[in-house]
Amino acid sequence: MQVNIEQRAEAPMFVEGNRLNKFVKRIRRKPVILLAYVILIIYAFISLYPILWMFFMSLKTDVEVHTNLLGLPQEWHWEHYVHVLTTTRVPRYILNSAWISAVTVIGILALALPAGFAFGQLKFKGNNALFMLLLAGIMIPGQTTILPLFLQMKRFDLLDTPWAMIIPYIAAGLPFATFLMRGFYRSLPKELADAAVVDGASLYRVFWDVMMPLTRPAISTLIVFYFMWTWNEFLWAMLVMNRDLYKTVTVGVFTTFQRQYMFDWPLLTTGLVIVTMPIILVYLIFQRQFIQGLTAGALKG
Amino acid sequence: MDIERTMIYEKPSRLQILWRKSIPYHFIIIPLAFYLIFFFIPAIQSFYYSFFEWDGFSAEKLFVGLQNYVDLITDDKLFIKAFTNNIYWTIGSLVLPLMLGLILAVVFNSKGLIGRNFFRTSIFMPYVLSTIVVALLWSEIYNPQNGIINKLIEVFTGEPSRFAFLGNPKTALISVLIAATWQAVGFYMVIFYAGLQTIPEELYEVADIEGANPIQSFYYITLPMLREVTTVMVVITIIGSFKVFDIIYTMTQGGPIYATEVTATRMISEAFSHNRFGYAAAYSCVMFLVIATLSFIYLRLNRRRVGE
Repeated sequence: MQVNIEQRAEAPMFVEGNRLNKFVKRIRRKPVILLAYVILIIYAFISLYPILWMFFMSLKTDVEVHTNLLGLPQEWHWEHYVHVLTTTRVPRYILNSAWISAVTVIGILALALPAGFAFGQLKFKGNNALFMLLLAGIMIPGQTTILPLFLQMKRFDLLDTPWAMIIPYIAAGLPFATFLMRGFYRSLPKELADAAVVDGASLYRVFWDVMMPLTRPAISTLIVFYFMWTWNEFLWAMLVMNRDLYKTVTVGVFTTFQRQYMFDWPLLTTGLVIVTMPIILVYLIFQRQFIQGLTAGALKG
Repeated sequence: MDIERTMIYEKPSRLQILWRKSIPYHFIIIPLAFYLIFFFIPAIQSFYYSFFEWDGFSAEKLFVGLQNYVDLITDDKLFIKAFTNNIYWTIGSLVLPLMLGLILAVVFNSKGLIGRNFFRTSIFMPYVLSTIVVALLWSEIYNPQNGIINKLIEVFTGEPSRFAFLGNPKTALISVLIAATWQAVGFYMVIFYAGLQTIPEELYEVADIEGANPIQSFYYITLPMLREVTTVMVVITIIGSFKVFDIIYTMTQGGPIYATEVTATRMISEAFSHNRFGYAAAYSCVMFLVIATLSFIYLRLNRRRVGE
């Protein structure tokens, strides 16, 4: 037993050394790769430094902001965090964004999954025509719908309520989500549904019990994309929400810091860090799904 | 088995048949209704409103036909300015984030590179930030009093620098574009990298044996093989450039002296600051025409790529 453990402990080091050797060999054989490292390190620095800088700034005192602009803070002052979390509405905005995004995503899934299933797997009259009607929604920019939609929300007396955001978000997200799901359902074999129906299961059960477990990868893509999309939405949220209580992160942070704290650098950067931290943490944990979701979704243009 | 089934089989009533035929529609009726009411019909209404002179809340609308569109093109210097800025933004976005993303992807694809995960994670990270955060952060970076850029200029030239990048009409638009580039490059890199992965390794090996240098193999292998991905990315970039709003509104609000106005920012201020609702609707319809045409091209390309 003893020997076994030692062997295990040694194994990774051996691999590590091997890797290093390979690495050195490669550089010797192809000096071009060195250039690749230089370029990537410089650009990674450009990408990361502003984010780190924002974090450093949030920990500096008002004096240090001017004497030591670029470097690490000499002492870490966490009191700005206490200040922002207790005196501004930022925590509330984060909460609002979280639940509004969650409800939107659930709404989109609840509507786009069955629609995608029907368009992708079932034969019925008007399948193509109705799908084209929906597809037109991908070509319509959100900005074209804004003005009449605003009047509609006013007429329904929904302005300044979270529903004025959630309902249009769901409607705007539907075309592309359905388009994606239809493509996914089409890639599943038709025999699955046929077999289930022959066995006496209804189409509802086919959708729920047979198809649902298979769609999980597509669902996680949709969740990431639409959650981030709703979380980051700004224009519409700014137009329909004037009540501070229900503002989402984007609008709340913009109005709060644009007006009050634009010149109070530590406070402003603290606010930005607080707002950004949850997203970055989730991103670091679920990198693969995140990158997949964001790139697949953004291709909708 | 078959005999059993025929034995218990009863002829379904007409109602049952009708019900069974309607089942597929159960899955689409609510989504379609939702989409029509809260997305599609408002888009159509935009066209309707664009034929009126109307402030958005009074009971009377004055029908003016195509007058709004005529005004837009012949009389509205700000529209021309905004639309030109959209075109500048498009060109800039094709040059900066797209090219930079492509170059980084090629570099990132180098054989035998170690630490891919680290590079991907770092370079993609700005893309997960909210545009609002990027805008406020970069406003600080550009700050004339105490911003990073001015500080760097000071460090390199040795002279104090107080340049207001966002306050100068000449530099405002490009400065905002650079902030947007910083946010988007990782996205382009990841997409181009995915495209590069589909190119067979053997092509490069053959080129290597034939004595091609890296630049030649980039030009004669990489670029042609990436043509489809590149086309899609170009179209997406152009569409995005005509829709751009958030980062401009939050960094400069269209100023200074209209230097960074784009169609979307003009539309919002026509509708909500000047109460020219019908006129703003005409703005949004022009945007629709431009973007719908581009999207149509894109969907066509996309369909060919998917191979439907």
